[in-house]
Amino acid sequence: MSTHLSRARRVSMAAGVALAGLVLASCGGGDLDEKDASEPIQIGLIEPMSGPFADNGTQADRGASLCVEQINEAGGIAALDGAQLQLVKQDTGNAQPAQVANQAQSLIDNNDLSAMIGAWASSYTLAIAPVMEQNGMPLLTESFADDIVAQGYQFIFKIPAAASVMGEQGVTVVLDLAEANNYDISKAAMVTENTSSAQVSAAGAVGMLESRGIEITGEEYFAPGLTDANSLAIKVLAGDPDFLFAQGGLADMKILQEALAAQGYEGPILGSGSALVNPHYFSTVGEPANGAFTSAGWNWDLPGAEEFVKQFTEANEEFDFPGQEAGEDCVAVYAIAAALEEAGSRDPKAVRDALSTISITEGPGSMVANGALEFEDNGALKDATPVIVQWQDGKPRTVFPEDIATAEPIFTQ
Amino acid sequence: MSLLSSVAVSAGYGDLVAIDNITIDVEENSLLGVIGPNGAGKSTFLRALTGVVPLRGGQVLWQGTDIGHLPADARARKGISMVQEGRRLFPSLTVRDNLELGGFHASRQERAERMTEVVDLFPALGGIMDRSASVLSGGEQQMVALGRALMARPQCLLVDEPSLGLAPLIVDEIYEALPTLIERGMSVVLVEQEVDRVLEVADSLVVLHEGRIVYLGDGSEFRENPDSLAAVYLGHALDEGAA
Amino acid sequence: MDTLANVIVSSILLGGVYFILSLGLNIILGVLDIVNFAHGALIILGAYSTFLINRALHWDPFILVLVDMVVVGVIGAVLYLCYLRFTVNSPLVRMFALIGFNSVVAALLLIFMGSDYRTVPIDLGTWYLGPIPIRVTQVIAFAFAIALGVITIVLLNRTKVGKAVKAVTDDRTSVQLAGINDRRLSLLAFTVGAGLAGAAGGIISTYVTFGSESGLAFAIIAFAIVIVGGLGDIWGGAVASLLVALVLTGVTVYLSSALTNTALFLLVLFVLLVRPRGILGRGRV
Ligand SMILES: Nc1ncnc2c1ncn2[C@@H]1O[C@H](COP(=O)(O)OP(=O)(O)OP(=O)(O)O)[C@@H](O)[C@H]1O
Ligand SMILES: [Mg+2]
Repeated sequence: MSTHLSRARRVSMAAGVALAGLVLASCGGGDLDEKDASEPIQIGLIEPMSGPFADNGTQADRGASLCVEQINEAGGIAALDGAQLQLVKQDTGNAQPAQVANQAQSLIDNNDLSAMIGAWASSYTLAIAPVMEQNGMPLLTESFADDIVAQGYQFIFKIPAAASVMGEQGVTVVLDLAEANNYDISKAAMVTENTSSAQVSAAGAVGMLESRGIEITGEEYFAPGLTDANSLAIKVLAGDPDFLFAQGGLADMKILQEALAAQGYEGPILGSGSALVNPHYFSTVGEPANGAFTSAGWNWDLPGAEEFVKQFTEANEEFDFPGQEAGEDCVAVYAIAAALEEAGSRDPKAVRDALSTISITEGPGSMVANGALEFEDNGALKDATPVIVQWQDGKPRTVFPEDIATAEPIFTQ
Repeated sequence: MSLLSSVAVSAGYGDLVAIDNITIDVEENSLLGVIGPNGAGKSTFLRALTGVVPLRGGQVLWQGTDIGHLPADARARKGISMVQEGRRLFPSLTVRDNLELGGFHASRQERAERMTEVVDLFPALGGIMDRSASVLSGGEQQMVALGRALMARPQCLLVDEPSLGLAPLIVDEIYEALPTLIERGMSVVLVEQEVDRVLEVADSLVVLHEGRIVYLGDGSEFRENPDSLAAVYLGHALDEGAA
Repeated sequence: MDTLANVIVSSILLGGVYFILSLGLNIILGVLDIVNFAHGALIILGAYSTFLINRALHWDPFILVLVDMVVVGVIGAVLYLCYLRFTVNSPLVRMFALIGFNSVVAALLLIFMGSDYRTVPIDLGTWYLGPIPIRVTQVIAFAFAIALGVITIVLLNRTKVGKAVKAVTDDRTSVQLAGINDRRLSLLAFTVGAGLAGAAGGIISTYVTFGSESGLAFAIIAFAIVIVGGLGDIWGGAVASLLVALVLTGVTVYLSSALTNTALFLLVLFVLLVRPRGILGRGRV
């Protein structure tokens, strides 16, 4: 690599700096803000709150809203004279990723945001990441995909573990647990929806299964929106597997698991997020849901979550427990609050800088699997660990990491 | 009062005016022949009478009342039946079902009686009742089409080119049925290209050319002097053409 | 071997449901010459009708199939009377209206029913045909579909009004000239077609999870069946239903489920090229 920059490169950099200066001067200049505390600090929340991912997006909304309220009731942001937090919400609906990027831009343009949270689907988050960079707006995301923190973005902070780790870790844990429980797994099959994050975790899972010497009897990707799952079940079970990696949306998982059960499959199922972390999973799928394992970004029985869970279920009576996104986005809100305190400013860039230095080890901000919230330079959560849960009696119970597990895994032969 | 009259009727398709200012009376218990070259507007005239094409102007009178605004099915229920050019059967149904639909509004018993009458008129139909209408010969099709129209027991029957594409013997058979219908008190409007056949049976005759009437009378001129017809067909009024 | 038998049994059961799924579309197309782009919405309305009544009154989902037929039939009649009959001369406007109806239904369902996926709780266990498991609900769904299909065909072929409806398919003008009110027949056909779509939705709701937009996937299958079977050809539709079920199941099991839509498309294309009048050669072009 050459040590000096080419002429063209230098020119363009100079131009870039000049331009940036201009932009700063023109839009930042006047009101570099002496806002008083009576004006709320705005946090953008961009989530799929309607459409096929509405279950997930509304969980995110409920969790974030609850924790914003908690913080406001406790006196707001002390370092900013007790200013209150305010969520500014944008529903992505079922939009294309490019549209979501536009939505994010106008959310930023039309408000005075200090930070953002979103956008659930990895494809959405990847689409808005460049917008965040250009606008200097920090984003805390509950998306899984590895790519999000692998592209050098400065303003993206990712709360859950990486998708690939989720798939691999899930397999490792379930295989170990199976062995410890004398359940023999020699053949496995994979059946997964063909969305990008599901494919990544499925590929990770299959690779891990193979490396453990397990024969893969079938690998099947399906398009979401199944109209019939029987044929899929016949195919997946043709090789007589002892173990299934299965992943899809709630609607598809229901008919898939019913078909699998009808075709005589009783072994363990492992998934990664999506339907299997949806609070409605059990009430939708019914009995075949019990026993299913999944890796998750967060679970309601993590240490430190008790108070949050209590308040959440009081505020949202239709749920027995908060979903993964609710917890993640509550953590995100607390992280932003901590950064505001640390920065003593509501300027997004200052919040970003503070986010990269904070370390939360107690309170709701620390209710992640590894017990502490701190971000690495690339924006990934430090020591992020996926939570492995198993559905037992209609609720997901953490079975890994063992030190925070609340239930013993169950294997039915 | 005439049974059926068109008063200054115009009709067409899109920009095309197919018939213009046609005034003709169909008398009770008579046969009106309509002739003219291809594209003269003969079929369009029948369609305008029955409501298959909308009127652009003029009136259609049924026993003196204007029915020009009624849809085709309502006009049919008044007692006007039409056998369209090309027969237009229901190919997915049997001959029997085709005939029965012609008598849709009659009682079951009434339908059976009419069916017997139709078979009396066209005995050939008796043997093919359960055959699909999609596999009939041209002659059989024409008989079914006529039979279906008669099943409604119309007062006025419009028939569009019944002889087209049929063997002479079969055309004979169909033409033999026409006087019977008149005897039963029906009126018939017969559109034809075969002028001689029409002249044999018609009580009155209309010649259409490019959508207009170029001759209206009893046809005796043509029986006496067949050559004069050629002139009329070319659009000349009879007096100048024959002169 | 077991797998093959399993595929065949599974396809037959599925084919029965596909038949009822496509029947309403086929009748509306045959009689009215309307490509019913609202078919998916009508299907999903049937499914929601079962869901809502079952939740409120706990009626048996299979009884509700008949209720769905009435409910969705009435909705279809209203759609026809208030809109479609005024669009005879503008197929484009009509297509737009029908596609729009889908969006309206999806939006209303989203507003009033939320985004939750719905299921109708019914599990009657599993029978075994030798080694082949068959879910009882699917057997009943199959039986219902076939029964409804047969009743429809009998009514169409054996009654005076049914024959008149078939006659409209052949030649509307001739029906008018026979003094028959074809507008009423059209209304009837659209109502029955919509009702059958509703019944199909009710049947599907017993074994599939559905949301406000789930009708589309089923409508696509129905459209494929109607093309493969021949436009307006009901028996062709029956054969095509089985064929499509076999192809979709076979492709999933022996190739990949990712290829099912491709296979469906290729099948349609192949039939259009080789037998443009449908599999039995009796449909319209
Ligand atoms: N459906 C139609 N659409 C458009 N134009 C039509 C239609 N039917 C007939 N025409 C046109 O209207 C004019 C009159 O046609 P019409 O069929 O009435 O003539 P005709 O005298 O019955 O002819 P033929 O002896 O060939 O049956 C012709 O120019 C014809 O091309
Ligand atoms: Mg003609």
